[in-house]
Amino acid sequence: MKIVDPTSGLPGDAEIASVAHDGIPEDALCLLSNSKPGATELLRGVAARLEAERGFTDIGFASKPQAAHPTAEETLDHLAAQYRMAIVAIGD
Amino acid sequence: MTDVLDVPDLSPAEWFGWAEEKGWSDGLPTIPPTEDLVDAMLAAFGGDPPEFAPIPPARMIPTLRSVAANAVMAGCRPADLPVVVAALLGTMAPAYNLHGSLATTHPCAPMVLVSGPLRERLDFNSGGNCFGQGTRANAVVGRALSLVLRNVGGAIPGTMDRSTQGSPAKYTFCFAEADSPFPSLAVQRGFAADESVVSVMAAEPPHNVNDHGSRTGEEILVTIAGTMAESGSNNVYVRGPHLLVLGPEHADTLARDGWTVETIRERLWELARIPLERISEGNHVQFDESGIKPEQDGYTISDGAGQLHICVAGGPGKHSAWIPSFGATELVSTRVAG
Repeated sequence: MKIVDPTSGLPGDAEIASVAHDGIPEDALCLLSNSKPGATELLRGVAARLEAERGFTDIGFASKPQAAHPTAEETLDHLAAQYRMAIVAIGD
Repeated sequence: MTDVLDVPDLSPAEWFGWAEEKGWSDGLPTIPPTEDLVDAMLAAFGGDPPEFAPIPPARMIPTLRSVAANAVMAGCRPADLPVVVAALLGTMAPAYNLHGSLATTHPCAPMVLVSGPLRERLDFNSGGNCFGQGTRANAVVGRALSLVLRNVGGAIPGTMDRSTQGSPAKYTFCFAEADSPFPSLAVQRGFAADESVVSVMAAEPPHNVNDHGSRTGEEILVTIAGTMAESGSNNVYVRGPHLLVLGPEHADTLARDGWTVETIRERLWELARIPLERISEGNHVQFDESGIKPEQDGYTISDGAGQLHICVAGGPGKHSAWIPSFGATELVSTRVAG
């Protein structure tokens, strides 16, 4: 029998272009906390290990205003313009 | 690109297992979305083709055909499709916060509340057991919406749906509001009484308010406020909307005593306070970090009286229901096309 695929649809996002400036170091890293209890502490711990063991410096940090709310577009744009990588805490 | 799949001819029992293996099922049996059934559903869709937004977390944009396919799978009749579409469009409003509500650890589900003439035309239940089993329209419309969010949007438990415990409402959560002494929710929100409207909110299942002893509207509101003053609700520290569904008998008593939607809302805002001693020390800290301060001797429920929405539904008996929300959401109302 022929059925209509219930998962079918159209991709919602066009290809996302890199927005980091050319002068930004390859290892420019930021942290983004989802503001769940403990998330920031977890990220700070990861950052400390990366600094101690991998030589990362100037690791940036941002957080959502509250766990249930989405990250503001301006925050994402700001991070995307300054960093090449982000570690996101998504758990409790 | 075709959306038609050629699958083996399967018996209903075989299809149930096959669809489950494909990851398309909520755990209950589905109906195969054959081309003829989907085409019949689309033929009955009278409105303009809707413009859908991407559904998170997968960020896929559904087509009317894929929505119809999920509606068929859920057991919808062709006439139900416009209601499913209106509900889906409501969840796509940015204020609804679909991504957050689907990916959260909170147990919220997409609540669908039907107002207006379609309630009777499609046999939605606004009376006894309206939140429960036994009515096809309630069962299949809520289920169809959940299947679309799962199958197109990728809100699959354990992967992108991270709910700690979930809730039975994630299978289906749809009911209609009853006629009452008060303006309908849709009319309160600016729609005409002859318009059919669907309101959606990322919500917990109903919390029962049992009050057989009270004799006045004021007494009933004391009981409702006590139910709303719940220490573990998202509405305490995330804030956001919540819904009071008055049972008809409670609604009649309140109307008899001169209460209106506005005065009920204001009185419950005054009464619903969570005593400080019912909040743990750790939560005091967390609430404070979220900018939530107690007022006088207790914490409030949400940001103000206007966050409480009120409607009437149910049958005989002295019960009402309070429906807290995810908090970071809004009640979104959409007119049903056609």
